[in-house]
Amino acid sequence: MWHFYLPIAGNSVNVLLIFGLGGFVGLLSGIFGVGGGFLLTPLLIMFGIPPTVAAASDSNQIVGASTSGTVAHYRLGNVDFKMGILLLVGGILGGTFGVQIIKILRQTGNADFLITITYVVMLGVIGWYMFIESLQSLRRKDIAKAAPARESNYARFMKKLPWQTDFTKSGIRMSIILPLFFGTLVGILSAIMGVGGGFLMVPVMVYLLRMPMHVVVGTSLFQILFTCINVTFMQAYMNKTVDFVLAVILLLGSTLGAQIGSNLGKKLKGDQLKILLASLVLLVAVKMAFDLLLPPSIMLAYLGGH
Amino acid sequence: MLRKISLVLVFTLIGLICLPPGNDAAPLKLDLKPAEILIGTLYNGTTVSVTGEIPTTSDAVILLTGERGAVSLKKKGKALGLLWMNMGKVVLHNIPDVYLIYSSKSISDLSRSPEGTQMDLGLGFQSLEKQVTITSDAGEPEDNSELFAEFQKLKRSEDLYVSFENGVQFQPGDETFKQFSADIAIPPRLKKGQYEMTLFVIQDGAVIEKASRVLVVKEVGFPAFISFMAWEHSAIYGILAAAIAICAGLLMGFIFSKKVKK
Repeated sequence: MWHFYLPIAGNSVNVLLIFGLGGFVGLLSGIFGVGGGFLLTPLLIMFGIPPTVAAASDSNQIVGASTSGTVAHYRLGNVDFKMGILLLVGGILGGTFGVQIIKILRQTGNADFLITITYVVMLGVIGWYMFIESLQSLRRKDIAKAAPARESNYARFMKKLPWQTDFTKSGIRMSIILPLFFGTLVGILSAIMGVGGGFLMVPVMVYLLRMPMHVVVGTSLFQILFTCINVTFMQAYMNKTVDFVLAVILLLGSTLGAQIGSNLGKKLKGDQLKILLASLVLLVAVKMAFDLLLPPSIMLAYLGGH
Repeated sequence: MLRKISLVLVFTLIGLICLPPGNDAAPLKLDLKPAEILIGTLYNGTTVSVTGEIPTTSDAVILLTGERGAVSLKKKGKALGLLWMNMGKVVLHNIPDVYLIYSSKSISDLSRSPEGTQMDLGLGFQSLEKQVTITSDAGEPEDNSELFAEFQKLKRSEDLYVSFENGVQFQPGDETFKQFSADIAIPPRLKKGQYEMTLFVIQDGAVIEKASRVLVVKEVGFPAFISFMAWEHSAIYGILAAAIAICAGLLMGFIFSKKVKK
């Protein structure tokens, strides 16, 4: 009862459980502008989906959730299309480059080790920085914020770059080189780590591109949508790992969750959103660190995934 | 006279050929219900009921297994003496994807000869371990027993490696034969393909007879259609998967925009 067979995963799953998982991840996606792959893929593996199928089908459902989230945020005026497209172009360039880097890394041997360590350290550092920063700004919300000296240097550097343009939705003016550069950087990192990169892109947009948090969420979802369309197609075409049945059950939940999440996010302040996302990222980092320190129950695992 | 003799000889020969075979040569009775497993949309594993007849003085082992091959897996190890992570790959050779073994007694009891010596029936996980070789990715030999035990854990967690000691039941029979039955639990992870259900008749620590039936597992309806599209038309499948996801997202956005307006 309530079980559906997944032909590509080669296993059956409880529909209500998968629908619920999709709903939960969609909710996070709508609130924070992340794809949620870093949460959903390990959970799907835990429920008996092969790692490669879990990652690919997750990308397919993110297409649905991020469409739903982008539409919701667009209605709220939170999508900076100009910025999103520039980040996307950079992301595609970086992704292509990152795939080549990973090939070289794999040849040198210790690739898995390097990737896992980089992933955990990055999650920890970003989570911690965001947490502290948003905690401080929540505490001094009434006091006018004085920009630290380091940041003003960075701001001066930003102003010196050529091809300055206005990003009206974000209310900022900067060179198009910056979103292209950071988009490429996130693209490289997410290709190496095998993740969508939402949790990297959000802090980059907040701290390095200095966009307002609500516009960050909407624009990140817009950018993730296109990245995941590309990943879904490539995985289906090259590796035949997209389980459409799994993706549909997930996205029925996640598209609904994304709508609810977008409306919930609207009620929260930028700093509150940041501190919640930081806590989530830190939680995942701690969980991964525990996995690294505790001996696994089974010493063998199927190929694919982290 | 010679003609009469040759006619008698010919009829005797024909008679001998046409005679029903004696009890010793009677084929073992073995029936599977169902003999074909159909994977439909709501499939979540099934039960195959195995019935038949064996000599009254013997025991039965039923084994469901498939073709053997090599499988590559990631091996976990300690990096820097502290962190558990994937440390290279290992390859298990001559390994079946599924091994469901149901018996009327434990395999070690069944493989004991009347003199009390342990014989190798070629059945069960201990025996399977001896038939498997494990190497590193580069082909160097690895610790068989340790890694096989881990592989068993992995497969047991998927219900694909199962041993059930009291899995075969007997009904009282006559002096020569008794009937047996076993309900084999087929896990949902058993892939489509062709498998072999074999009955081993065991007596005095040896296999005295065996019989096999083919068990076909195939997808039908929606799962079959999805598999066909994913494997045979992967480009269209990829585009459709993304397009349907976008439509679902837009539809949900549309429904919610109506709600918001209301």
